[in-house]
Amino acid sequence: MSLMLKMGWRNVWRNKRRSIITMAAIAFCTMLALFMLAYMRGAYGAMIDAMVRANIGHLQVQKKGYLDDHKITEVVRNPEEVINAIANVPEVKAIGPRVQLPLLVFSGNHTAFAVGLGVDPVRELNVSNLPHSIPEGEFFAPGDNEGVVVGTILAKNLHLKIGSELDITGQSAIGSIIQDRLIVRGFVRTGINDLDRNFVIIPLARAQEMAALGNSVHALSIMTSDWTQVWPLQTKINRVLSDIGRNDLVGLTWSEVNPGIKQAIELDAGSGWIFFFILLVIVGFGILNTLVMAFLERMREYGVMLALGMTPIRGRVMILYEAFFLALPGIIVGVGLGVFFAWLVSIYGVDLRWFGEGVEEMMAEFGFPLVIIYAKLEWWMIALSASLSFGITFFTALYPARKVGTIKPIDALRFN
Amino acid sequence: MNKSISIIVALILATFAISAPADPSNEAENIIKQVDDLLRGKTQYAKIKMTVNNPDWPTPYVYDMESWSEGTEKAFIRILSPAKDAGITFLKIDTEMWQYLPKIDRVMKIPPSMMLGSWMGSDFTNDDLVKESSIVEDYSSRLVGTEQDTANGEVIVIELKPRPEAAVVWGRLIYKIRKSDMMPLSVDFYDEDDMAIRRMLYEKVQTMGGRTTPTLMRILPLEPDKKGRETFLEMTEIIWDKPVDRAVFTKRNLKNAG
Repeated sequence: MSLMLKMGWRNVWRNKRRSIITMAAIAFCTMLALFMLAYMRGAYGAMIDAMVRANIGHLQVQKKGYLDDHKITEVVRNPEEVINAIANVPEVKAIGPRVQLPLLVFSGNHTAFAVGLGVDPVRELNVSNLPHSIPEGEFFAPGDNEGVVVGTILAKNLHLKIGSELDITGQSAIGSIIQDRLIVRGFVRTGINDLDRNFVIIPLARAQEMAALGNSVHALSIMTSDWTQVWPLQTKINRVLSDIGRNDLVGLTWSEVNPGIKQAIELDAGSGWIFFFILLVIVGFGILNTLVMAFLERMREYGVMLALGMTPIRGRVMILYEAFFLALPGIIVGVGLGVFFAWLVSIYGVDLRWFGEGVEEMMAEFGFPLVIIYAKLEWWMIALSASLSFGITFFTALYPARKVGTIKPIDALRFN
Repeated sequence: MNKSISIIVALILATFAISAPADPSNEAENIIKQVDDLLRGKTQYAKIKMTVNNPDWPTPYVYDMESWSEGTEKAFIRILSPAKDAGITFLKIDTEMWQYLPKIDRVMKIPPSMMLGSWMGSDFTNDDLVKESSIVEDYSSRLVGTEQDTANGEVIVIELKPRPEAAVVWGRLIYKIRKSDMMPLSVDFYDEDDMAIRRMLYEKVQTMGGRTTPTLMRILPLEPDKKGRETFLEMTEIIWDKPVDRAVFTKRNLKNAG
C-alpha cells in the first residue's frame, strides 16, 4: 500500500494552488471549531459562575416542593441543624441561609414590587458576591437589624438615597399583613437586570420576623470551589440529609434551581453549533469540488491504471489517501492557529464593548454580568475539531472513491 | 243576551291576562336587584368576623373588623383585631380603593395590577370589594329555571352574563335563590373559559338590625391548587339604613384610629 500512500500524497501537489486553497478552507474550519469550543466554554463558564455567585449558589437545600411555586410557607425548619451536618462535607466551602419574600415597597410617592432576600451578613460574605458588589454605601453590618440594601435599578426607580426610609408591605407566613420600615444602607449591583431591578436585601433575622417565619428559612445556599463538580456533591449532600433524618428537604444543583441559565446556554450553544455545521457543510462542498475535479481530470489515468491491473480497492484507497493528505496540513495549521487564538483570548479576553454600546446593557438584561469573555482551552477540543475536519473530508472523498471502484476501464480511457 | 256578553267580556279579559307575555329576563333581573338590595340596604354598618382557612398556615387567621357602606359606591372598612393588624383601613369610592397601613403610616392606592390579588390574605380579591356592587349594572340576567332542594325547597336558578361594555373578570355567574323567602343561597363564579373558580354561600339567615338576611358568607375556592382554603365572613352586628357621616368615606378617615 505504500505505493498508494505515495501516490496519494503526490496527487495532492499536482495542482498546488487548488490544493492550498482547499487546505486553507479546512484550516479555517478547524481553527474556527477549536476557537468556538474554547470561547463558548469560557463564556458559559463565566455566565454560570456569575449567576451562581450573584445569587443562587452552586447548590441549594430547600424543602421538597418549594421549587415549584416558591410558597413562603414551604420552609426549611431548624436550619442550623442542617447547616451543621452539611458543613462536615469537605467539598462544601460556605453555607448561607436565605429567606425569600414577595414584597411591595414604597419610598416617598413611589411604589414597586420587589423580592426581599433575607441573608446573614456574616455568612453571606463567603457565599455570594452580593456583599462585595456594593457600588455605593455599604452592606448592613452584623447586628444591624434595620438596614436594607437595594438593587441599583430599583433604587433609581424609587429615587432612594443612602439613609432613605424604605417601607415594606406583603403577606406573612401566617396570614397577617407585613408593615415594616427599613433604612437604606447601600445599593447592590449584580450586573444582572432581573436582580438589580427587584432585590431588596434584608438582614435574615428581620426578614424572619417580618414574615413570621420563626427560625425557618427558604433555602440554604451552598458554595463549593468549582461549578463543574456540583453533581457528585449533590449526591453527598442528599445522603447527609437522609442520614440526619431530614427527608422533608432536597439538595438541588444550580441548574435545577435556575434551569433558565442552563437552557439559555444550551440554546445559545445550539445556535452556535448550527452555524458551525452550516460552515462545515459549505467547506465540505469545497473539498468535494476539489476532489471531484481532480478525479475527472485524471479519469484517463485511472483508466490506464485499471487496465494495467490496479484493483478497485487500491484505487479507492489512493483517493482516500489523497483526501487525507489534503486535510492533514490544513488541520495542523488550523489547530495551530486555533490554539494560538484561544490561548490569546484566554489571557486577554474579548471585550464585548468593542461591538458597540448597549452590549453591556444587553448582557445585563440576559443575566450575564461580565463584559470581558475569556476563552478556556481544553485538550479534548483539539481532538474534536481535528476529527470534525477529517470527518468531513473523508465523507466527501467517499464519492470519488466509490466511482473509482466502479468505473469500467474502457469508459475511463475514452473519457473526455 | 246579557249572559253571552258577560261570557265574551270574561273571555276577552282572560286573553288579556294570558297574552301579556311573562318576560323572563325582566323577572330575573328584578330578582337579582331584589337580592342585591336586600344584602346592601341604602346604608349598612356591620361588625364582621373574617376567618381565613389556609392549609399552609399553622392556624386559621381571624380578623375582626367594622364596615360602613353607602349604596354601591362607597365603603369603608377598619380592622380591629388582631393587634398587629389593628388600624389597617380600606376606603372604596366607585372603582378606586385605598389602603392604610398604620405601622408605617402609609396610604396606598391599590393599583389595577393588584386588583385581582387577595384581600387581606382571604379568598376575596380587592376587585370583589370594589366591583361587588355593580352586579346589576354589569350583568344581564336570565332565568334558567327552578330546582328542588331537600333543605330549601324550591330554588330559583338565574344565570348572569357580563354585558358587552362591562369590565368584569367573570365569564358567568349562577345565582341560586330560595323561592320561599327570596333569600340568596349561593353564587357560582365561572371564568372566561367556563371553569368553575369559586362558590359563595349565604348561610345563617337571621333578623339583625330589623332585617332578615344571611349573616354568614363563605367563599370556597374550587380550583384544585386552592384545596383546603376557605374564607368565612360572619356578621355579628348590623345597623341598616342609618345615615352615615360624610366624613367616614374620606381619605382622612383612613388614618383615624376609630
